[in-house]
Amino acid sequence: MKRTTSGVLIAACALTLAGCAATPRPDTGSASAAAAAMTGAEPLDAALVTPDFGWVLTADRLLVSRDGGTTLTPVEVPVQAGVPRAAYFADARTGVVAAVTGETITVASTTDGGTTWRSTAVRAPAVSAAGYAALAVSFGDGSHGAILARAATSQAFSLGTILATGDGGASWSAHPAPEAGALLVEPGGRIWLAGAALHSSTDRGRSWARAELELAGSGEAVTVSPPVAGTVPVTVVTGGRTEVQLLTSTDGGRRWGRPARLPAVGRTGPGVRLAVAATPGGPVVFDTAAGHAYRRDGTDLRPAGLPDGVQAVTLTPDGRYGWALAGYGTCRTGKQDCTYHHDLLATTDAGATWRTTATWARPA
Amino acid sequence: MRVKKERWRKRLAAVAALLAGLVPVLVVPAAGTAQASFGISQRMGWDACGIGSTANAQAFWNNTPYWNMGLYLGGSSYGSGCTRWTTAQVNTLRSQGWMFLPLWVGPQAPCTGFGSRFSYDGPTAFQQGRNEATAAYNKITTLGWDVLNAPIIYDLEAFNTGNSSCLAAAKQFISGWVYQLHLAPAQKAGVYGSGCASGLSSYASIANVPDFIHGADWSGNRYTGTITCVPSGYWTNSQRHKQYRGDHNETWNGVTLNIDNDCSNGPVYPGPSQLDNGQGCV
Repeated sequence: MKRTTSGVLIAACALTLAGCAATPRPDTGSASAAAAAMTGAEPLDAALVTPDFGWVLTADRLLVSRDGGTTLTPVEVPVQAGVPRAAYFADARTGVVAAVTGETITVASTTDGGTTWRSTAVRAPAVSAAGYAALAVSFGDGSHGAILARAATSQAFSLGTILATGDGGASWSAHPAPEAGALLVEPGGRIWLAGAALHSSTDRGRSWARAELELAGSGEAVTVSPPVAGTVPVTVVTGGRTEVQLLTSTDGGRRWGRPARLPAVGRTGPGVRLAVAATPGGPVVFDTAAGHAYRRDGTDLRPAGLPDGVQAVTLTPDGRYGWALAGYGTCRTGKQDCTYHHDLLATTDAGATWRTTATWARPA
Repeated sequence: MRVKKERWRKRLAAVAALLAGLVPVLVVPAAGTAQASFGISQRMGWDACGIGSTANAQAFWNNTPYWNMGLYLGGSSYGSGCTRWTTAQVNTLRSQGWMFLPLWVGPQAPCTGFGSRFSYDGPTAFQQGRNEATAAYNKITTLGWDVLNAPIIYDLEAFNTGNSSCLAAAKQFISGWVYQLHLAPAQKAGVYGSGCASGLSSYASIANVPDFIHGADWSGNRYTGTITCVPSGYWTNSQRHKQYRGDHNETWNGVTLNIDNDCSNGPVYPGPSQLDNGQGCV
């Protein structure tokens, strides 16, 4: 299944009974099964790949589920813990976990669902002496993939290195990226890199073409996402208001226009992308405000059970099953007793209702 | 405005600047006494290139653990997509309760690939540091701040500190930055950067030592006493901010921002001091 969201996903794990550690306990069958309270590092990313198979990447481990999220099982991956990392699975058997230390990116790949791994060390000349702060991985098919390594800088800068492969990961080439951002590789190998602008490369990152985006209005800040379901979503912030504009292209992706404007209830700042998922009915935009999601025509689907702070959503190709990852903070009293929560939610009814299956909480 | 200072003071300053650039001495930085224009914060904060609106900032104040806010003032390297605050907006942020870590993002080290870079030439780099300090000073003046002892932080991104010429230029640049800010009415001069790759510890032994540092160490550890590559004996007297986590999204009160997390034991604008409340900064 293709990953349909940009940015950091989180989530996933299992269900029921509170208090489990790495592996949530199975559902007791009660009508209102409690979400599993997870321990350990909070999730960095997650995705539902098939109706049964999904994965969650934390700072210190990879968790996989083969029952749609009921059970999450830790998988040993030969990469260093606690460093910038990313994961990608094309199906329930074929996946990649990448982690960076200094100027070396370790790429661990599996073709048996994580039972065995093959590691490759790839040198990625740093664009910043401080090294890399984040990774993103995407594969378009069995041969073509890319890794985006974001340089560690202050908020005033956006730098990165792109690594690309055309032989399934046997060899990689490294080139400077036009900026850091979100990554997507299409079948055939075209790389999309989305930040404050949209860039594409058909030669594994050696050269880049900047797409022309014809936005409506004059937003103060735009944050672009890679193409989803034939559209390029652009999160536009103007003053205190946020909207997503869905752009389409008629020339193969050089120019994107004819925006459908979808005002959001939730407010965001520059650099934040609203999650967008592909469905059989077209793209669906998930608001950062609880309980709102929009079709291209502006219809608010009002999904039940989604909290504030939805960051990423993945749906199966038929649109029936999906996972969502959300993060939000709360304080009990004023500025005291604050907690930051990450929730993994699942849907089995095409996104109409969502149930929290696992939660992580850390003092904030 | 700085430009209105007396001519004799400028001449003295020029001579002193020459001496300051030529005679490096080991100075143990000392914290100043409390002034209305600054306070010591020992609490958590955040910074973001883009916030979007004062209403968004308000959402990150009410019932959150955050007390301080990194406020980018400007500079030649300040990203085009970042929020440009008006004086009225900054006043609104103040009225919300925020204490500021004021940041200036000008030219970077000459051995980097950044578009705006200062010179390898020592005297030129020193003067460029002074120029940036003057520009930052003028900015806080236009904001109507009480400039005496107001902290201002220079954002010096990572560079190859193994390149001796580059490191020497950075030392001169920072020395010029500090020298100029220390001219009456003096400000508190800070430097932001990677604890290792911006060479922060190197600036403890230059002619004009920064009053405080803002060290990027994305270990997740909030304790300001530990910043990788910065000896624990440097900048010890409430002279440290620490950026302990890099860019990520957080949602509070329905507003989602892409932020860095900071913990402080150092000067913020304005006062009064807000000391330890158990957040783990000290």
